[in-house]
Amino acid sequence: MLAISCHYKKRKDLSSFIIATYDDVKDWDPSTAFSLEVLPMSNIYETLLWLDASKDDHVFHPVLALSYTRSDDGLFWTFKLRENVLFHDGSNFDAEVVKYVIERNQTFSQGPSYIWSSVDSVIVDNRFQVTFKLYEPAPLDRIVSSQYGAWMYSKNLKNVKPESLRNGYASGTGPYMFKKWRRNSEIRLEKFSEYWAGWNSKNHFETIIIKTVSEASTRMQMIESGLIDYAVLIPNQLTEKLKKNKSLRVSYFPSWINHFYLLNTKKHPTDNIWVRRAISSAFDRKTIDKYVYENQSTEAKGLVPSSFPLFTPPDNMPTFNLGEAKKYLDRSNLNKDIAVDISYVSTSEEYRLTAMMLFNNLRKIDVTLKQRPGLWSVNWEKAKRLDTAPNIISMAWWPTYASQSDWFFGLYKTENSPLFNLSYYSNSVVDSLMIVAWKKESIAPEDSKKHYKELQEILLDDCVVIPAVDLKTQSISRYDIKGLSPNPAYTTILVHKLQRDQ
Amino acid sequence: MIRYILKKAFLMVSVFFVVVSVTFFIAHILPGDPISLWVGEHPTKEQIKTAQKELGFDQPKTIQFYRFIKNLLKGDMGVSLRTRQPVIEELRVRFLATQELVTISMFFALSIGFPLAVITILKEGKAIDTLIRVLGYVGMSFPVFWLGMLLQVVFFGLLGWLPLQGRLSGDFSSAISSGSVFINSVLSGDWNLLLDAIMHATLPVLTMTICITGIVIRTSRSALVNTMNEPYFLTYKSFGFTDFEIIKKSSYKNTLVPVSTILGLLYGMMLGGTFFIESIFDWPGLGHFGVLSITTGDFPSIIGVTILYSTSYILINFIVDVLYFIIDPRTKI
Repeated sequence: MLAISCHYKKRKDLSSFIIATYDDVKDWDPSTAFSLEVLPMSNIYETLLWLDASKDDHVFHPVLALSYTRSDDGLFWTFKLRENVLFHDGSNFDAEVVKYVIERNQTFSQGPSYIWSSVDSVIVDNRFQVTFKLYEPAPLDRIVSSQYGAWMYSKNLKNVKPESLRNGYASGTGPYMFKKWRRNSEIRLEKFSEYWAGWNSKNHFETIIIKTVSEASTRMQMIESGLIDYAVLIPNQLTEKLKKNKSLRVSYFPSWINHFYLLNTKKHPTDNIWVRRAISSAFDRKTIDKYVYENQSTEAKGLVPSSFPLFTPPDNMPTFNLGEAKKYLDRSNLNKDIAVDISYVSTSEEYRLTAMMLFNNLRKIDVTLKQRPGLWSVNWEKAKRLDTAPNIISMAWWPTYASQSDWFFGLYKTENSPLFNLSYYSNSVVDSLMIVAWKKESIAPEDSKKHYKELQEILLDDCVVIPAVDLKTQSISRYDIKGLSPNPAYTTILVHKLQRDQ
Repeated sequence: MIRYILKKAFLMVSVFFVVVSVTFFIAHILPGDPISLWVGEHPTKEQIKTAQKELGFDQPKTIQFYRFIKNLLKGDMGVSLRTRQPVIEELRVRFLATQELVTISMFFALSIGFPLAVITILKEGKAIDTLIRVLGYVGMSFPVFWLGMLLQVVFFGLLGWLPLQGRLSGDFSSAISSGSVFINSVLSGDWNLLLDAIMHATLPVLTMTICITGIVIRTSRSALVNTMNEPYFLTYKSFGFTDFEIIKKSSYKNTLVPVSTILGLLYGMMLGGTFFIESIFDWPGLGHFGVLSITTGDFPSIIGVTILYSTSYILINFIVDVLYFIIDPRTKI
């Protein structure tokens, strides 16, 4: 009986690093994968550069590119490539591969392929040196280090049939090789013995197993019992129990995801700036951060996460003041019985509680808030049409690569028919300023920083957006796992850097 | 008999066509923009335009419907926008997983529920009758989600006797792609695989069985009560037969018609109602897939799942109708 007892709770193999996540991979093509694929792909593939954003000075580390230079006008970027790098299929990494990858990625009309839109051509200078010629100055060091669409993959991908790619295929230069994919169940990666950086740690992991476990309570039981080493996304109310477990480590790291609320500038009554200011002043950011998100967030200091490169907090962040809100409302010259509506993602408890808080605060200044929870796809579809758009909409945003421009281009650039500019905001000064800020990111970073600050201040002045919180990334691992370190630029775990404490 | 079956088959095809048409148009007018599933989280306008063209969403609905029916007749249901896999392939593997779960649970529910119903009739008013009926009610009243988690905590968390989730251990992973794990393991004589599959299926099957046995007890009991009030039953009694003898010899047959009707409906409902069980136990079945398809607006999958459910439902009821014909000779008149 004892032999049978606890059989299923025993880990057979401690040389594997086992992760339980909530959903499966959808796309095995490294050029178009744009979601949870980053977890296996960051262990299979590598980029030219790797951005270390764990400290205040964001540093680019050489990976497949040893060094790089750019011309003064920012139009030519030359990368010296690492030699003696092998792909998992045995082929060599060189400049022709870089050219092939970028040119192939540019042909796609989905996923993160647009990050290469400023690249005019890739010139092979010699076997281990390439030069990127750009149409316009762009922060190419940030683009080539993106966690989406910048992986270097083997040229043999062109010989892989679509069915094979659909059933799981990967050939990168990274520390782990693709071994097996059991759809909706698990992905198995195995150590690549000929990895160029070698295997120095003797306690490294031989295998990575990524399990798809849709139910959070099941993931929780798995990490508690030691069946897995790392659990992704456990709800906050369950983590309190895990924190008391001495065999587990629960940590929160800064991320580059933020939550905010867009105010519709074309729809009555939020087309009136004083109404928008009143709503903004009734938004109690501190309370939300402290009691709604608890330890999962930090209070927003601007329109982009505060740990982001080139971020400077704006001087005019709105503060909670119901007296001021009332005064703003009086200046709106609108009759009483003002009603606004808010749409938010119904599956998020944080959005629901935030909407409740806003409802309560607005009631005190005689503004009625109608709550319209729904699925994001439905909310978004309605918000794209002015007649069905809400006055306020909840938003979450994260960048494709490490550029603040992602927020500004995506959310505030003038659009005839809005895609994500769901505040229907249009300002030619803002439009041109965001282009200038983006172009100067690499060639004149201090100027770019100033422009981004100015952009935030204009948008806050016009009350287009109410910043809420910068989210944190949750990390729940077994206590014997060493080497986990935060890097908000990548939402992944680099298993090559981890080891089990023996 | 053949005429009867042909009539039912014609009705079945008509219902199927109506279901397909209604599902197609409802799925297309549902609010939400599924195109973002295909192009990624933050698409550009150009990406959306190109994807709409690629997937044929820029065409009028009637043309899309015509193409859909044409492809459906060739066995092609399109590609899932969410998983990027052919819908037919997703359905094949997942349907067999759900069917396995439901069929085994149904088998146990019937094997346990029907004899218990007979006992409640034979021991009516006694403690055992009350106990069985109470247990039946309790089983039905358990929230599936709660019961599943409770069983996980006990049999995995405390005792470690049974696996927490999944359909098979990692070592046997390749067996899943073939669909029906139990049948394949028996046919191939792979007893280790069979044992592993049994261990993994135990908790989800137990959860489902507990929840439906109560329904089987109630339905069978009620059918038996009706039968026992029939004149022929009283005639048998006047001849000195005991209740058990009458049920064994004759009455159980008369309960088969109402019981099989309920079971047919229940089976169809269970095929679609396994969402919670599949979520808790990570059983890669159709219920979980269907709900995720609806919540994300993945309409090729929504249509595929609906067609599969309705086909199963229609087929099950067709089988039940044919069974009536066999069970009840009066339908032959």
